[in-house]
Amino acid sequence: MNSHMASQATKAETYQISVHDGEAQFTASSTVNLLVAMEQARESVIGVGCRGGGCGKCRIRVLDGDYESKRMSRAWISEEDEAEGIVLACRIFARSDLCIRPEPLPLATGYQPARSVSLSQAELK
Amino acid sequence: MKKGVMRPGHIQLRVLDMEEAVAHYRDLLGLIEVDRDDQGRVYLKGWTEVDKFSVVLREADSAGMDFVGYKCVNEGAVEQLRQELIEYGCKVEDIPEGELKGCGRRVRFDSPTGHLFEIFATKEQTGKWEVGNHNPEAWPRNLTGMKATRFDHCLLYGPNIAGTIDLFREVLGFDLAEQVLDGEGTRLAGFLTVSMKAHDVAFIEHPEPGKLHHASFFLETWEDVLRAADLISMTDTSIDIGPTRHGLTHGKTIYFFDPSGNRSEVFAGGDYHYPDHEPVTWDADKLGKAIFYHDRVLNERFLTVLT
Ligand code: FES
Ligand SMILES: [Fe+2]
Repeated sequence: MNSHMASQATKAETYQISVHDGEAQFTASSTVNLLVAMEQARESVIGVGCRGGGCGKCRIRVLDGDYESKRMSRAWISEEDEAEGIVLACRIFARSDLCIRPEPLPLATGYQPARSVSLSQAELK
Repeated sequence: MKKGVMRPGHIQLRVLDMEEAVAHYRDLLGLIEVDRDDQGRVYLKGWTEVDKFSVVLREADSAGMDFVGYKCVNEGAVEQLRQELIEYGCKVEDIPEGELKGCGRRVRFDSPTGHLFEIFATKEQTGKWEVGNHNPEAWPRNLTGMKATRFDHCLLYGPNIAGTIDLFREVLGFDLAEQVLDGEGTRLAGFLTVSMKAHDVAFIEHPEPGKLHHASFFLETWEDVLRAADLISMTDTSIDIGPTRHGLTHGKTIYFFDPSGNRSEVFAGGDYHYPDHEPVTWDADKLGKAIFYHDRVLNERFLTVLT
């Protein structure tokens, strides 16, 4: 269950984030993105890259719980992924306790801005 | 051999949220916002640049680079190079005057590494921002953030850099200033210049096509790089590494990320290049030192975090 960021959370809440296989657990404030919350807790279960939703390093699946999200690069998260709860940790904010699992992709081979047919501006995705 | 290409002219970057991106490039880097267009693109430049703009931001559903363009001495050179690009086997497209506001016709072409490049010769010249070229003062007093002086270069990742480097040297007249070679003599990285600068563009071999590693902006001094680092902390901006020095080109640098995940660099100093200089070579087993001269090890992010 997720919704795009409609408004800033009014006050900071703290939630428990557990990793599916039980190998890590950390707390996350509702006001910082999940990846930065993990870094602040000195955990390393999710890959850290750009922290801006562009590079795909922090791709995870949310198995349970609520969150809000900001725009994520379609190079890494398709609409189907997003509907299934696959997200970039650096673009989501916990709205309840969460259970997550890292779901990294080795390379962004599935998506390139369309440019094979024409090089024109309209074709740049 | 020079073929009429002068310098990097502009880079168009994709961003996920325009207002966040403008806060990064204008308020933090200190670029000057010069225009917006009806597609919602935002145009910026460093204050020392004489042309109207050098950075174009476009909101999109992915991060990365749309294209980077190089300015040529005149339209005749663009026409000549257009023919040579076609003969070389590039797919070439003519972009009409005005597609970017204040820019003349551009010739866009593809490359083996999957990046789109452009050449052009005509762009509105608005002069150095706030100081002009008639009895100019040393600098404008109303700059913000890091006060980046110019868009300097980009580092691009893709497959078959040998092909793109050959295209830049043979057709566009760039020189190879620095390179990284593995034990078999295969080139893993090439830093190319069309000027006296240590690099105007650089390439690193990587399986995914069309990737951006960073867009880089020039600062005057090491002190300015430290001050940039302070601003990165003050604004809680995502940091990558630095301040440190590169072995390659010996620039003093800091890497950080824009709010869409595109890596930015600001740097000062570095080597220079003349056409009679042999390429500087770094061995692949010294890559750590070549990239981060002080740490002498690569961080994982350098090779894998791209947009
Ligand atoms: S760290 Fe780059 S997308 Fe999250
Ligand atoms: Fe650089």
